Amino acid sequence: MRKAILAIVCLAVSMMLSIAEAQTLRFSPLPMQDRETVVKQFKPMTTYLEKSLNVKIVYDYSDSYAGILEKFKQSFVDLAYLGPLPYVELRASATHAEPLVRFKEKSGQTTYTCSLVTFPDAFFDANFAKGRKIALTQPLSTCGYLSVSGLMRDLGSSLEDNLYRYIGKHDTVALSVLEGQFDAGGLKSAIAKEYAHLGLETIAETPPLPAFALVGNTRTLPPEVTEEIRRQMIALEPDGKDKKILSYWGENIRYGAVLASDDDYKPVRDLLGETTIPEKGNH
Amino acid sequence: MTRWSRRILDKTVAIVLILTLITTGLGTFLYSNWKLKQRSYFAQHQEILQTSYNASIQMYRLAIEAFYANTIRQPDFLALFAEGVTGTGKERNLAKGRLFRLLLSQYRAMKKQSILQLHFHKADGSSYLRFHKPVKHGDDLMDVRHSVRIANTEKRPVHGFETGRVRSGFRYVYPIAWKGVHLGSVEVGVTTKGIRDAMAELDPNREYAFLLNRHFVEPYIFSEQKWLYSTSMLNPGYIMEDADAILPDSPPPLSDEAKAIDRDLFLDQDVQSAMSRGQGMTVSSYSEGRCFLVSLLPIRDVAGQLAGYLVTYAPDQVTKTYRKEFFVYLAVAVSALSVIGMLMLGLRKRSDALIREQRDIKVINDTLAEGVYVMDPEGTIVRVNPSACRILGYEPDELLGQTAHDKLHSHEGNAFIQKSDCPFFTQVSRGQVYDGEERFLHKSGAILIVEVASRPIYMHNELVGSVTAFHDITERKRTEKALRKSEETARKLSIAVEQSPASIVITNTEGTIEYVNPKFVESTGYTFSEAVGKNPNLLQSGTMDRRVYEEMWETLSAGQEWKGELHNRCKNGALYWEFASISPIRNEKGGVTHYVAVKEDVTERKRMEEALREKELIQRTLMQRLPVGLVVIDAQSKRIESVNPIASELFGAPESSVVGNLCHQFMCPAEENRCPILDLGQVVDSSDRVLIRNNKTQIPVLKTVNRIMIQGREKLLECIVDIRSRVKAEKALKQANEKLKAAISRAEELAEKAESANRAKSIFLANMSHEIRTPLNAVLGHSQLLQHDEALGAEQRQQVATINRSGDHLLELINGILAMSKIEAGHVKIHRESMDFHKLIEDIDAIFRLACQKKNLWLKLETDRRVPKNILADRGKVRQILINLVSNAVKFTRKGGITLACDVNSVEDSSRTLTIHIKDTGSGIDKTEQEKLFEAFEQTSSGQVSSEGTGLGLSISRAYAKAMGGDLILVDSKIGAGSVFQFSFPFQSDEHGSVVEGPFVCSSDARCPEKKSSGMKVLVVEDDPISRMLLKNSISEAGMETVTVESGEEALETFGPFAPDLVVLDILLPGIDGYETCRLLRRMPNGEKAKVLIVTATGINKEEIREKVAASGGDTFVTKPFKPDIIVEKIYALCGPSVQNSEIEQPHSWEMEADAAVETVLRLPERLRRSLRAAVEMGDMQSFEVLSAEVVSINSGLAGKLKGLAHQYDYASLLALLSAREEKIEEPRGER
Repeated sequence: MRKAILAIVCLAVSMMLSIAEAQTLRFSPLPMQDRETVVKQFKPMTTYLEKSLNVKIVYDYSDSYAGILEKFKQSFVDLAYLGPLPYVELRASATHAEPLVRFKEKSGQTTYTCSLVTFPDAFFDANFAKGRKIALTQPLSTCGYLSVSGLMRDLGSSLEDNLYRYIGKHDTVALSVLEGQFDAGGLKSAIAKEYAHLGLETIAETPPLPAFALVGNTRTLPPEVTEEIRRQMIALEPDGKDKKILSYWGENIRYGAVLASDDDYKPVRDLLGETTIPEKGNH
Repeated sequence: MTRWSRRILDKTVAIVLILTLITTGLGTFLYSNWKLKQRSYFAQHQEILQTSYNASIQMYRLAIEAFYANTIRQPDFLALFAEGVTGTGKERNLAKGRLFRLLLSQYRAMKKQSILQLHFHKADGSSYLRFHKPVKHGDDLMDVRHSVRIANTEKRPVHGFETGRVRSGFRYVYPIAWKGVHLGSVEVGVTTKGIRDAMAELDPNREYAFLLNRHFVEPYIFSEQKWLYSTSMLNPGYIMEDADAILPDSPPPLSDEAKAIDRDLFLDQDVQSAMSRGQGMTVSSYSEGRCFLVSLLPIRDVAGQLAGYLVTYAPDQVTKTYRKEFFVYLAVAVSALSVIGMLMLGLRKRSDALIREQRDIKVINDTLAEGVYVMDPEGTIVRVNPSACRILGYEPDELLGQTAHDKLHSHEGNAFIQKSDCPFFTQVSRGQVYDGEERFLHKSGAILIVEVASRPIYMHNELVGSVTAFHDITERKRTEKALRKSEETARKLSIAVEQSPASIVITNTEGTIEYVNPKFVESTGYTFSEAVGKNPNLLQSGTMDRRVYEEMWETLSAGQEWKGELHNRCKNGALYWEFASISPIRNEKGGVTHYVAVKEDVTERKRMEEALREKELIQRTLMQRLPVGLVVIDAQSKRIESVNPIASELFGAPESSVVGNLCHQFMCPAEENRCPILDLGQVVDSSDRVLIRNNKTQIPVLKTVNRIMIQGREKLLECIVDIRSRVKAEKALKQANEKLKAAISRAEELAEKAESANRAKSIFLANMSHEIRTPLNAVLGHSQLLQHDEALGAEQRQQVATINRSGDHLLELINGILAMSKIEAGHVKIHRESMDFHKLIEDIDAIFRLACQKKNLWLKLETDRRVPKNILADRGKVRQILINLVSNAVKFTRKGGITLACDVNSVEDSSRTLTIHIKDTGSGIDKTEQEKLFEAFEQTSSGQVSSEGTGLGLSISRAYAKAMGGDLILVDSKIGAGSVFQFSFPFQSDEHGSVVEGPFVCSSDARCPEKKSSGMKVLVVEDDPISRMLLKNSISEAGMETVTVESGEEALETFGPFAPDLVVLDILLPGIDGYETCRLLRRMPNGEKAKVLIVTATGINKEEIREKVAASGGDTFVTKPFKPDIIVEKIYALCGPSVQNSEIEQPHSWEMEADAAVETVLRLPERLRRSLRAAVEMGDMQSFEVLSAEVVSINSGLAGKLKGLAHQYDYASLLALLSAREEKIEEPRGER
């Protein structure tokens, strides 16, 4: 009996110590949708990483892409879920930002596309659009100014000839177009498709871009931790043993992941070229 | 109190039981009352919660019904909805989008009212459009959502709690129909937070939590929603939605207190049981000392199933108050009953005590030996005890009701005193205490003496009577009277015993001490308490024969008295003797009850007896053993009464043959009638006599007679000592004394001779020195002059040089011998004085520089900077040793050079030693010679080869070094490589630097090269050719150009052309004398510039010379005889830059006439005169100088005379003057 009590005490102490010693990682997801949705999407993933790495992950939620990037630069964030353009922008001034894994799309591809959408009642003709209201996500969003300006240019018009505004998240763009506040909007194609049953139409779609990535801060994360994150993430088998677990995960991250490197983002850098993305909308 | 109750009270157990029963009953009542009130309160609380819950739900229902009526049931909306649910493809999507666009703003407004969901369903129960989740649609809800199923099948509104795929909440579902066609339904979902907020507005003091039945939630929610749910701590069958309030529209998380309560209630079986039955209840719970009311309200879903619980937590004081009240009431009741019980028990105890006391008093009263009666205030006896009746001889009835005074106290014994006059009665009747002796009348008429004690009896401060106790003391009084008489007798005996000078001990028949008197305590040291109870054998010393004690006890046991001496031991261990008389003490029946011992300390008496015996023994022993014959003679009869063995032996007859004879038969037969004592009246006679032995032979004796008294008779005590040996020894001593006198006379004669020889030796040494030195001076002087005689051939010059060198050597040898004589005689004295050591080194350099240059040797003088400039040391000896060592080094070095290095070994002044190393690169010394190097007259082979030196230099130097406390050693030496000598001596630095040293004087063997090149021109005027030659040579040797003339006239002639810088002018000249010549020279051109040194003869007063010299214009003077060096020295002093017309003191022994000098010397202190003479005899001229300084203070003229003689080497005159003769001993010169 005495031994049993001693064993329980030792176990409790060791558990307490392990908890006390557990590292805390600060995670910032990209605010592509409303906060609830974002948290719901990533909570299972962070729980999975907490157990796998024996760490505690806390959310550092920001409503703006720029906020996340700034925190990352100042090392207030250890881990972030970023799109390709935010990553490229971040990497340009923060070499300690290292892409760990890229999330696969539902199609199994490691790329995604951005779309320019509208609602039929808006009567938006991209070929001749001028002075129309266009909703953009955020300046640093890949599907924002960068994609929309490119798509409209391809369609023979110019984003700058219209009235664009950054309104935040992708689903906000979709809803604002549905609601009629904007005539068109740019957002991730996968999200746009979810609103298609409400009459949201895709006008144009970009070529494939490198998928969203989990970016680690090498200044605050030891190499063994980043490597372990990589290992744990790519070990997931969405169609195999981890199918059930991943079913709880968000739509954007539940289809597995592949190793990422900075070279994967060359297409984005090429697309960006000399383009200067305005930080504010023009109306 | 009834008999029954008393019996009850008598039984304490019964009382306790009854009280316990009452307490239990009361406690039960209070508990029931408490619980009843609490249940009522809980029910009220539960009811309020139910009402609040219902009100909240209804509030939302009314609002949603308004929305349904005003928005949903409008035709535009219904048409759009119908188009959507019935259309397909883009048309359907467009309609759906338009409907979304139509209601989106309203939905946003509803969200702010905690309405989370706005959800449209198709008629088949599938999801059509979720405003709260637009991307989710098309899923079938018919099976999982009862409300949807009812609305679309029964087509009626449904509202209530329901779980959902996304979130659980309160649903309000309404069917939608248009134009008679059922199109589907619309659902508005209110979050639990909405209901909670609504309830909180009604009752803000509660904390709310919604628990969902796990069974109805988990199977239906979307998989990605599962993380939002966690198990309830209250009951694991229930889960909580977003317990940590991650989502913004979730109710706030439970407080820590609520969580703690949940954990407690998890263990509460009543709660768990009620929840398993789906019942509501309210319970109280405590968390962190605070009381909370927890209400569980079951929530049924639209299907009537237990979907969950609404749990509220409210801080509560009422329950706590009820509980407190219960315990307070219970405590009060228990306390009150305890007090009652205690009182009852106390009453019972006191009652029992009263009964016991009453009974005891009666028993006491009846058994009391004292007679007791109680009177009322009038003196009537109202109570009497049996003893009173027995003492007084009455029956109780005869006394009760009678007046006590009349019955008992009025009798002839007190003259029938009236009651009113009776002090006993009057005092008692006034309520006062009365104690005393009274006489009571016995029934028989006898008068009893009784001792009474009467005390008043008060009741409520009112005198109600008195109680009188008495007892008969008639017999006691009688006994006391007899006892007093007996005590008086005993007291007297006791005093006698206590003050007895003898120790008295009383024991019982067992021998145990029962009494000892103070004398015993004083004698033995045992206190009364220590002795009593002990056996007298505690005094036994162990030295007594056991039979004494046995005999004592036999005697005592026989009832007889025992007397005897006992040797006992005190408490402190001291032994003492006592005479004891022990007698039995008998009782009236004759039986022995005690023993009394009367003991007297006889220790002193015994000691005196012992002392007397000792004394007698000593006397007898003395008589017998004394090595002197003792004879006791009766003064009257002159007959011998006693002799000791020695006397018998002297008499040559046994004592028996001697005793009884007339004393003159053996002694002083011729003085029979002229006995010095008896006949001539002397007190003592001590004289040598002749004893006539029995065989008529005679022996010499010393007889001493004393008159003594023995037992009143006059006796003569004669002591006879055989002096035959003494007489013999006296003869021998006399002869020895005569021999001793002759020896002493001889010794004195020899001592006189030795003294004379010693003096002769001293004079011889002085004379030898003088006599040898005087001709040597001539030999050296003339040989020196002869060396310069150009008329001599080379061989002759060499011979003269040999003569001169041999003379020098001889002079040195003599000086050395004299120095060694002083050393061996222990007369070497160290004169420590201030000296400039650096200057000495410079002198050494100056002395030997030229000699080294001549031999092409280098001379290095290295002086460490730590060597102080001025030191205290014997300057002369240091200088002499260094010159000796360096001189030897120069002498024995052919190439290379000499190094003289000076160093100090310590910085502490008290132990500083100056060490000088003299190192040369000369021939070195063989090892075999090194051992004898410092022995006198030992010379090295090289020294012998060079034929130089006396072999005394190093031994003298070492002796001087050791005399200074230092040493001189040969450090190292190798043949052909040179030698290193180390000379060390202790010194003290002279901080004041008061060095007074004369100018450097070049000696004959210590040249002064610097001053040779002076280039001065000197004119010597001397008529004596030898003196002239000496002067010329000496001055020329000093490097000066010298011209000699024989007269004053020649001098005047020569002065002009020669233009000398200095003129050495003799006084006694043929023609004009020196003074005149000087005066004339001064008158000549440049005559004033030249210095004039006048040489005078002896025998002239110094002052006279000075006056004459000054009068003639001379600068200074020197007296004959003089050393040649003195002249040179004078010249330097006169012409040198630092000497301006100074005068060099010259010895002048002629200042004082011989007779005057002798007289003055005789006036010197004997000590000083002896010291001066000894210094001259030993050649210690340094001491002589010091002593001369003392003479200066006495008589400067005499001092000058003595110094003059010394400086002229006229030691014979000096010694003659000082009663001795000697010559000055010069310092030895260096020699190896």
